Amino acid sequence: MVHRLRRTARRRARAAGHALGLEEFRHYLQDQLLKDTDVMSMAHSVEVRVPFLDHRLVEYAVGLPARIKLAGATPKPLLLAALGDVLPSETWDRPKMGFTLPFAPVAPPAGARAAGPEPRGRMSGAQGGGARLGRLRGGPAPLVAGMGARRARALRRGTGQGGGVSRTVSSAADGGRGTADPWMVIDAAHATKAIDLAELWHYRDLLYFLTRRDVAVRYKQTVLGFLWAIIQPLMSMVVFTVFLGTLAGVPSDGIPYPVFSYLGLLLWTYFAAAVTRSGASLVGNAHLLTRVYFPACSCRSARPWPPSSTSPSPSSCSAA
Amino acid sequence: MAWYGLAPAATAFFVIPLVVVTACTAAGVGMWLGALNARYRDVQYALPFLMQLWMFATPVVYPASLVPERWRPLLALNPLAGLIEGFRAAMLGRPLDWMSLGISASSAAALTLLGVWQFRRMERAFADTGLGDGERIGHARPP
Repeated sequence: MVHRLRRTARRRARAAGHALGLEEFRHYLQDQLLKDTDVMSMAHSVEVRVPFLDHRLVEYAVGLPARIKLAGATPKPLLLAALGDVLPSETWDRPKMGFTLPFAPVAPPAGARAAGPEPRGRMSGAQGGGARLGRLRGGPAPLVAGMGARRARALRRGTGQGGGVSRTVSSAADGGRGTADPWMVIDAAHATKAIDLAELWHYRDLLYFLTRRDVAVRYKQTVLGFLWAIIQPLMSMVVFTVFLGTLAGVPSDGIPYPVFSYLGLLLWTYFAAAVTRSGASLVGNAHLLTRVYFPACSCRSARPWPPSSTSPSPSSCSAA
Repeated sequence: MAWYGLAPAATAFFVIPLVVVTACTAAGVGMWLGALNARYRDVQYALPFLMQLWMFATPVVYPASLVPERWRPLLALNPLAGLIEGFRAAMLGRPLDWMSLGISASSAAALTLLGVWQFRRMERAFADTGLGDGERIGHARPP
């Protein structure tokens, strides 16, 4: 009885932790952490990607039961299981550090001050950090969220529930590595595959909201609103009627020229607007695309400012 | 249309598949140009001119009958030619030119698939080579 009560309490605590994690994801991560990362990395001319926020990985992680994510006393056990083999132990086996201001390099401890100002001594800390960073960079590509076979097996055994983890294994079908080396490679889709309609259907609510946003923005702050959709071809019709229909005398198959050209322009305006707007849509929504959906080689894109490979276009310059 | 005593004909329902095909073509071409624009921003400057050129290569403000008979199939290779002529004929209840509509529909399908294929091909490099820099420039620069 007591045992069961304790188990229920544990389950409730995990559920609460799960909910808390979601809230943190929705607010703290989105409103604070990502913004801080952006500001700090930009101040140092580093282009940061957040591979852990790839939607497939996030969806997968959210779907995992809380008992895997909040197992035992070690914080972030899943992350450790996934990357413990890949990263040097110095990165993951150290006391947790909060986001405190780096006072140490500015104001050295009392002992150091007693020995007099010695810039070389103070610099050593930074050099050590650099060396560690160098090792990190030299290691395996951190973009591949891998899970060591041994740890994955242990995790599966420990939880007695293989469904979630083995999904990772099966999703590593690329290259036929087999189940012995369960890697989950986050990568852009292959060109040979057609548009994934199932995926498109899966994200229909996203499509719906983006469409609604575009429609809402389209005729915002206009007096005539959506009437412009009718008026625009109407105005072109008047111009073409005057110049082509009346002055140039272009025939129109026996249909009154205004009707003839309006019907043509109606469909043409739709087509031209659709092509023009979708042509600009990727660049216009770069902030959505580059943040989360990242390509396999994005670890290379940490390049110094200013970017030398492409020349900035005038319009984006003026936006800066 | 009412001004000239013309009402949409009974065949007007046929514009629905025509509009759907037009939308698919626009999506295919738009995806291609969008992907190209992510890599080469020249596209956004060339696009208005391209669309103007395309419009005059399409019987929008002139009838297809103005084009000599033997060049009609060539004109119909432009997917919009058959679609717009068909749209007009369906709205006014006039006979459809099935030959040019068929050619246009086929080239519309080909263009759509080509656009989607090109998009998929270039998709891999978007965030890295295409959008990364432009997006970066849009932000505040370090002093």
